[in-house]
Amino acid sequence: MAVIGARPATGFGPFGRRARPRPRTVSRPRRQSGAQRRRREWTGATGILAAIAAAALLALFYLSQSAHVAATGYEIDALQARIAELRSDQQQLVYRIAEARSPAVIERSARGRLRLAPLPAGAVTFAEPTSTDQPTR
Amino acid sequence: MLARTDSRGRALFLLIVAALLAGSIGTRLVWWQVVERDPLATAALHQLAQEEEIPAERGEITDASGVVLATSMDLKSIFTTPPSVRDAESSAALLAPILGMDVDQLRQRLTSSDPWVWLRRRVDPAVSQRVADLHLPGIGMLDETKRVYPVAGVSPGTTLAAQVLGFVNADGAGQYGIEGAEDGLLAGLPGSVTAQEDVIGRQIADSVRQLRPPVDGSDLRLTIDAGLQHILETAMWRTYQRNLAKGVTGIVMDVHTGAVLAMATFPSFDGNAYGVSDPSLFTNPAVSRQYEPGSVMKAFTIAAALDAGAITTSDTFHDDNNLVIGKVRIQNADRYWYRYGHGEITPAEVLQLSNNVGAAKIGLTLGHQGLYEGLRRFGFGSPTGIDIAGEAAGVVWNPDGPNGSGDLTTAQNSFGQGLSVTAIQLVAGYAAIGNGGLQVTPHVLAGWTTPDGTYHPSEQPSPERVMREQTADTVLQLLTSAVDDGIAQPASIANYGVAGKTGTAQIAGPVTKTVRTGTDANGNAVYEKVTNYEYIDGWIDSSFISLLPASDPQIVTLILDHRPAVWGLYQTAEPPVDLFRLLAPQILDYLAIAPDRPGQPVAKQ
Repeated sequence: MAVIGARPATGFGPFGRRARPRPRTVSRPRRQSGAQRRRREWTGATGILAAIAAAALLALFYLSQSAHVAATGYEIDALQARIAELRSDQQQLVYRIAEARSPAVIERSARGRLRLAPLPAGAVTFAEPTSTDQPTR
Repeated sequence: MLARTDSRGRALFLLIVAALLAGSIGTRLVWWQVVERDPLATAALHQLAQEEEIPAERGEITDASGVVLATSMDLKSIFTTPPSVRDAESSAALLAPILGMDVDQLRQRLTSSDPWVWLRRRVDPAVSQRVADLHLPGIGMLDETKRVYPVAGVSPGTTLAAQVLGFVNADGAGQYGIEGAEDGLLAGLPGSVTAQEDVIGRQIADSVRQLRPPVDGSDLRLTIDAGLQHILETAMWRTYQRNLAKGVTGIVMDVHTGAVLAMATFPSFDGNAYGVSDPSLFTNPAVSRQYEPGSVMKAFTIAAALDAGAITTSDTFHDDNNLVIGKVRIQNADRYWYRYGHGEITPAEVLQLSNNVGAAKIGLTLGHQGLYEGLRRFGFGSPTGIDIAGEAAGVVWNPDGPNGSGDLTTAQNSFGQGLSVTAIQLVAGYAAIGNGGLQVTPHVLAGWTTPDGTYHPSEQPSPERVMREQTADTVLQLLTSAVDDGIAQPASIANYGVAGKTGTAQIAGPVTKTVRTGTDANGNAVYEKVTNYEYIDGWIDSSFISLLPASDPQIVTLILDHRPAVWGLYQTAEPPVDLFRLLAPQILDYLAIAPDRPGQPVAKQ
């Protein structure tokens, strides 16, 4: 085992506090066969390709999510417009109902269409309470 | 050798220039990217992000049974951007009939030098749809909210209870009536959203940075009953026309709670078109017009005197139709028939005959401060606190104060002259007589429902005792006899006892006269025009106020004609008692108030 260098114990770059160099060990090089070397190169290339593929997948995922969010945004926009439209319709209906419940409109309709007239004064008869009208228990 | 030296120099020069250029670009980049990074990033975000206000929905106003009297609608407002208009002539011709505007006026707007001009605001949905279908370049639409009053009034061009409700102006603020008085409850609080927008102004879904949801306004429920309001408006509109009056006011109020069941005033206006109405019509005369009430005040003079123990119902007062105080002579309304008065009369007869001299003598017996304090205690000279904007206080002078005239003020106030009241004060005062002596606060707001659906009944101040119960009962009996046996007998109705009092008071106005002010140097008379406030012949306020049914009052009603056309001695086409005789049975039937004199066609006739 040979000591070939040192690194700062704490901190980073020029701001780090230099500490006593710590010995680092390097394993003794071993002789590799051709097949082993080829396998190692192949593995390295596969790793790079896998990383590229993963990055591409991540990019695709991000793009699809962005597109989805944008589409959802437009859907929300369309739904809000629909809500506004329905609310406007509802407001129209409330207005028409109130118009129809207006006593002036009812009276006009009753007199004109139904040929009805208000009761003369005092036409309402109030029933006299009798002894049999006691509340039941 | 020289050439080589030049080449090196040029190269060095270019190197220095390039280094300076790179250095300056680098420095600028460091400046933008490091030093100014945060402010620039914030500014960029602000450019993208837009803050929009989310308007709160204004609450509805309904009557006591839920009929919607006021609501809000989202409508389109149509505008033009004149630089984008391609053919102003044909666009104006197409739009004019749809928008109901003049072609020339429309063309003028379409060719305006302004970059943006309103054409018509808050149009009906059918109109906005027709405009949209034209697909005209340079014509656009914006959403705006309009306050609408869907229930039609009785007279043409009015909405029901317009002066009770008020209206909402173009800025969305409640004005006059309940809209003005309860604007805080109705309006709610607008919210806001800060989000990034795309190129056509749509919000990007995941960019919302700040959302403050709006708090919608509360829905108000009034004590007004639309059916009863219609009955009252029909009657008041009829008398307004028949009497050629300057104005009329009618009120129906619950004597026990102070809830105003109906309040009708004419002339009125259309809440949907307040912009083209006479602004003088916006105030509600029932709460804001101060007038001299006349003989209806005699009941309060007697109540104050009885309550203070200054008189009893069996005391008599000598009426000789000639009470002189200083330079003023007080006489009775029936002076042409009873030149020397009625002799000894009781408080009951003071009301039955509506006797001014008798009332003045009761007031003088009570004393200056006794009457003044009594009238103030019954609520005159102070606002009642009704929840309608623009209430007036009325004026009651202290007889011994700087504006008082001692005995004359007390005597005049005793029969309702020399002081001013509002119609609602009078109604509240009579309610105290009808409910056993408690002063209730008139109100039109029954309660409100917050956006979460919780109903809050409106809380009124506790009724204040202003006279003893016995006093109130006695005055009620005297008022009943004023109708049964007095000059108000035409107000009698079948099956019901009526306690009531008529009132007719002259109206003071500016009178300009030419008066001699002295002589000039040549001894010629010098005349000047002087304007004074005096009672004007033919200008009167005529009223009838009642408590129904007399044996156990449930409601108080007031009919008031302001400056009706008069002839003879205050004769009018339809006196308030005549209208009352037609109106009261309808009100009693509508409210299902049982008769207190069943089987009796008309009281004592």
